[in-house]
Amino acid sequence: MYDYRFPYRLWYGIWSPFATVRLFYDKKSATAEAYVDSGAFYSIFGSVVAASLGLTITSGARKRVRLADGRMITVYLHRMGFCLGEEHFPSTIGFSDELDIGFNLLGRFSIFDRLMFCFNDHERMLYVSRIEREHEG
Amino acid sequence: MAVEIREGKYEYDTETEKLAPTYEELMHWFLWVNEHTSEFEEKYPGKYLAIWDYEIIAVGEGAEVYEEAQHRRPDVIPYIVYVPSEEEAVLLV
Repeated sequence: MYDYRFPYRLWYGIWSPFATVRLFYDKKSATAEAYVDSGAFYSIFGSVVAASLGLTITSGARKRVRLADGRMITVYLHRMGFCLGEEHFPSTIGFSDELDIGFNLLGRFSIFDRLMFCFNDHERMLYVSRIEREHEG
Repeated sequence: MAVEIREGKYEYDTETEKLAPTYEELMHWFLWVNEHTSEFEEKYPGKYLAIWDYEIIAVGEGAEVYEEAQHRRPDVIPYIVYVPSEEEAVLLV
């Protein structure tokens, strides 16, 4: 069973899992999409989404993180509202202009404890389910 | 967040005072992008697209895409899509 599903996107012959999300910050919101990366701890969004939210990237909590290619970059963490489908919850999202790729990345921290992602490469489909939390009954 | 559904496919956010697509409508736009990736790879590699209702309302290489979209449609929250360059797409594997 799943609550949402996103067909993989084909860029240059490579099928990749993207999901549409909305972020809410200080009475502004942005609608964007992100590459779902279960190997990433933090979500990292770029300057375009930050501009849409009226967010000063460097005002967040500074973290140095290592990318899969070995580079170290600075990411600034911000608390904000996160929405995928009908699922709304507060989250911590990283912003950086050092990623050097235009994609936003959706990582595990404060997201994967609320939503479960299933990557079905055979069907080329990303399935997303809400995680029922005990204290929410 | 307080929203009102309009025309069955938009949410009017009373905090931002802007229209945004409902989830169902946004999924249609997402699939529309999926159907046009070959065309976008050719026309817009390395560019951001601001999309509203199956129409590209702004194209840019950075935050200016949002400003241009707001200039054209100040009443909406556009759907921002990034079209990778071929080199970037390889990074996805």
